[in-house]
Amino acid sequence: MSFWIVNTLNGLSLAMVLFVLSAGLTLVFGLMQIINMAHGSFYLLGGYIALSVIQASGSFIAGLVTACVAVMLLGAGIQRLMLQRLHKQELPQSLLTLGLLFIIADVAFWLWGGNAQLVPKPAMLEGAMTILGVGYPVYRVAIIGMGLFVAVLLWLLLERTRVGALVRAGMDDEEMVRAMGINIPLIFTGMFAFGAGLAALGGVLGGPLLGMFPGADFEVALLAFVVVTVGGLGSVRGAFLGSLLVGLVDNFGAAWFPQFSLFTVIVPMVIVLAIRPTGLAGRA
Amino acid sequence: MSLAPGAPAAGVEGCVPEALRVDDLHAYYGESFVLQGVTLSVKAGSIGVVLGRNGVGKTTLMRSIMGLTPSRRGMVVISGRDVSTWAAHQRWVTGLALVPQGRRIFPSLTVREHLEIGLRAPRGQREAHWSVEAVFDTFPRLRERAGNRAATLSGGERQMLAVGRALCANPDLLLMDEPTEGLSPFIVDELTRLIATLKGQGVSILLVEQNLDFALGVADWVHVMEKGRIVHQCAPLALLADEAVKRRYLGL
Ligand SMILES: Nc1ncnc2c1ncn2[C@@H]1O[C@H](COP(=O)(O)OP(=O)(O)OP(=O)(O)O)[C@@H](O)[C@H]1O
Ligand SMILES: [Mg+2]
Repeated sequence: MSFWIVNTLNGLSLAMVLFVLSAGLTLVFGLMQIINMAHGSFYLLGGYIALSVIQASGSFIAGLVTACVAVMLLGAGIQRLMLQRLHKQELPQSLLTLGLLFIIADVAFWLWGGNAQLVPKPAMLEGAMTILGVGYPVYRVAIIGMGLFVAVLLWLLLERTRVGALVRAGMDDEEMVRAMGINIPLIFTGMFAFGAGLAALGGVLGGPLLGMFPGADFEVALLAFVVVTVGGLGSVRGAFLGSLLVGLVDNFGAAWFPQFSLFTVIVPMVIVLAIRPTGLAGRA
Repeated sequence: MSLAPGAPAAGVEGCVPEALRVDDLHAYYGESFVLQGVTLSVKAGSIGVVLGRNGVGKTTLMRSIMGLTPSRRGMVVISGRDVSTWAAHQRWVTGLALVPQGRRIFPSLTVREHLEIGLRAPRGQREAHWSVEAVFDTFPRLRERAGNRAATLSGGERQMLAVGRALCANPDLLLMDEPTEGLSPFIVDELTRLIATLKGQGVSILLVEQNLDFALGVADWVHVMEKGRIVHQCAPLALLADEAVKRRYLGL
């Protein structure tokens, strides 16, 4: 019984980190058709910046806020100065972000070195609690809560605000939004920055669990791409469902078939896509 | 009253201000040369109609005026302002709004959201005729469906929404691209009445149509388009009588 409880909770906490990460990826794709290869780099930078700020200040919150804001600004700069010039050119955009992936990886290696480092947990979330008679780390439970909180917040933003309506309209028919006199370039910049900030938040939340190391950017990006493909490109609900699937499958897969790690995630993806080519909640 | 070479664009009194002037407009899709020097104008407060067979470039003309398809040569002047180099999202400032061909509503937005994101105050001293409530008064069916996603609307409801969305901008110059396409005669009559109302409010309209009866019923002036140019223009009654033009350019 405790096997099931622990692996389910592990799967859920990984799923929530993946969700925060993938939500940004899928929103950016849905609105701007950018396949952002550097999304994992924003995750890595978020984790590393938080690590340094927490080490210097001793405050997890300070690390979280600094990391998210810094990466958002970086994202805004990248979109304004580079991606905006390549509007609607999908291949050049992807290649550009691929280049950024390598550059950021090198810079991060130079600044933070090659050893794996855990982001320190907030002090108040240290230790374990008892769930259904099983001891379980408080921090992982807190991550599940944070992921659900972010999910609700994103839903409210998208479905209940004017900006959210503009973003959905832009996903449906960008040209028509422009014809209505709405400054879509500004919305694009804002969305790319927001997506980068979500990736950074994923890095900060996941940092104490998964650690930061050269190659972590690529590893999580791969999982995030599986998530948004399974969930359906452009759909936040899909990213949520996809994250649950990937998080749980990854944990139980690793427990049952440790020798096939990534394989156990790819197989469900292939099955889902064979049945529903647009993903679980894809836009047609 | 066909257009003589070199004659002034509208062929009408020069003293009435122009809501729209398009001058020698050239536009391409890649290498394909679609607008080959379009020249026309719409007098303030009047309704200009563009007729022409499928594929002659009517939608491209609307897109170019809106700024969605860039023009490589020529000018678009709206209420005296040359907007040729303006981005599409800046042109609403001149009071321009578009009802596009094929409706192009946003499936994931509710009916009310369409109207709310389209809402604009009128420019200058003009009266604000349109609001979300005013659109609902004109199309009561839309009020009933205010909270529904547009994906669930019928074809007629979608057209009402596309028109209502444009009206919320309180436009001075309204571009309408085949608004009657696929509509029941009942809704076409409603549109005819609405256009009369808009005209009463001083809105200028450039209307692209295939439905000749509807178009000639509302038009003040008719432009006939062929292969990316305006090849003939006249008053609506003159066109009705002109069998040669109807046969040659409209396939009637
Ligand atoms: N996006 C595009 N890319 C390439 N060619 C296009 C594109 N859109 C239209 N065309 C071509 O440009 C020409 C003019 O098209 P346009 O849509 O302006 O015609 P139209 O007069 O509005 O036709 P219809 O009455 O069918 O709406 C056509 O030959 C069409 O095939
Ligand atoms: Mg057309």
